Amino acid sequence: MLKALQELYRYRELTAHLVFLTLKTRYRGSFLGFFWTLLNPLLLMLVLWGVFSRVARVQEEFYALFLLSGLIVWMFFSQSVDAGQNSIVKQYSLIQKIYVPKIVFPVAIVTSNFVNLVFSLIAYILIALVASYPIMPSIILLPMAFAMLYLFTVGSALLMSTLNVFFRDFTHLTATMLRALFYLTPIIYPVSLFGEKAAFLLKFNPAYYPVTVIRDLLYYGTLSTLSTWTIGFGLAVAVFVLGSAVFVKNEDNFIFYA
Amino acid sequence: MLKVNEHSGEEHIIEASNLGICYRQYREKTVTLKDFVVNLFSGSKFKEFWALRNLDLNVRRGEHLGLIGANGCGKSTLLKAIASVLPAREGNISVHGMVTPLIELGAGFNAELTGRENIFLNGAIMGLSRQNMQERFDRIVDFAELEEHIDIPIRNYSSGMRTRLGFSVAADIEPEILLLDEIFAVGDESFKLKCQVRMQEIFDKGVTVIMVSHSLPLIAEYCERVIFMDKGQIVADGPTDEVIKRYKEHVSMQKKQAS
Repeated sequence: MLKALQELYRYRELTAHLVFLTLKTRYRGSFLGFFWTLLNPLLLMLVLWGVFSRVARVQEEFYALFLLSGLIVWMFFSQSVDAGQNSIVKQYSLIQKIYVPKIVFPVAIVTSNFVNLVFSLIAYILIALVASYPIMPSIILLPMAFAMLYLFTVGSALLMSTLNVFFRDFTHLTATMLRALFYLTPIIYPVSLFGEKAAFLLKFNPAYYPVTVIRDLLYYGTLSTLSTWTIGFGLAVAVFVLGSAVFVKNEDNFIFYA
Repeated sequence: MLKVNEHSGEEHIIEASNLGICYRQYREKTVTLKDFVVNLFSGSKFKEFWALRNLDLNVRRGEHLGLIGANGCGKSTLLKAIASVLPAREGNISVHGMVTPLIELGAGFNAELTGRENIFLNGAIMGLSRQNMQERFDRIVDFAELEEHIDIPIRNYSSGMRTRLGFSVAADIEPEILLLDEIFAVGDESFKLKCQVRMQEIFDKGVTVIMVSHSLPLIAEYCERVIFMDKGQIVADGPTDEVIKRYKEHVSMQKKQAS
């Protein structure tokens, strides 16, 4: 794994190029271009707000902002995993010709989505300002929470991109798995909506922690409990180590599964 | 470009011992979970194919080595093993220097990016820093004769323009080991001439070159050592004239047997 990190560092300029390339080509030909990065979470927020504030009657005063603070985290994670899982398969024409450390591809995908996350965060802050909802000083701790989220997401993307090389089925399965995980994570509802037993069970979902920590800092203006931070970072590191170990162990054989 | 073990012995720049490279050939190309489960019970669904086996090879620094043999004899596989694209299943291979493969020109070009951006992207793929590429940039553009078109996306380039750009980037980077797979000169006659001159320069600079070609005159012109391969093994290895003679005998013998 150390070797993977060294190679990642040595090829950091390639990673930067790939991040730029992903950002540049994502909205190619579209009229609004990069604005979609800001618009997409807002539109999704509007749809979910329309549905859940009326139908499900979630008791949350600023439900729209509550939703947005969770959605930007979720969209970063799900889009990273969704694009990351195909990051190796899509690069076969290159890796069959020239040596490149393969880890750069999933890492570049996640990082380009991370850039989008930062822009979504700006969108959140602007909307909060317009709605005269206070931005709490707790947001200075966001970089730490983002680090947890980034590690967790890179680990997941490495794992999924490896599995997808050997079993292309995962491409089809992932969309459904992500949808299930979306509902199992407190994004559209607060944990308090259900009883204590449900709140306990939700904590078995590793995605619970980054979503909770970031929402607490951003929307509630509070620090999550120390145990939430600790378990969150523990899980993020564990997923990252697992993902990179699986990736590194198998990367030499990727080439044979084109 | 790849750096491995820089501090090792100067004597041999490439050392392979008992090298074996094996492909899995699936009867059906798709890899799925179902196949995996089926294979668990019914034995494997793929056939193993050893593209190289029990191969020993030492190449000295500065040597110009030609690889010849029929299609499918393992020449390109050997180049890919040297470039670290293919992993060894058996034995090992060590390369003590930077490798630039000129296997397919413009591998890694992105059609949406401009010529300028692609030059830097290509450099990054080979592990070169932006600053390093900055120094080469003018020379590359000049060599490719693309000054006017350097800031348009290469999807608008003709195929000739693309190969010219690809060649110019690859040829400007001076590696310790250059791998050539049937690519020597591209473009129209005048550009071809420029390519040949540039190649001669690289050869004269003491770069280790390993080239694959079906053109025996080309091999004879540029290489002082030739390896004749057949079915993933080395049949003959030695001075150019002797090995080419041996290869010609082999080919004519096969023709006789066939008729």
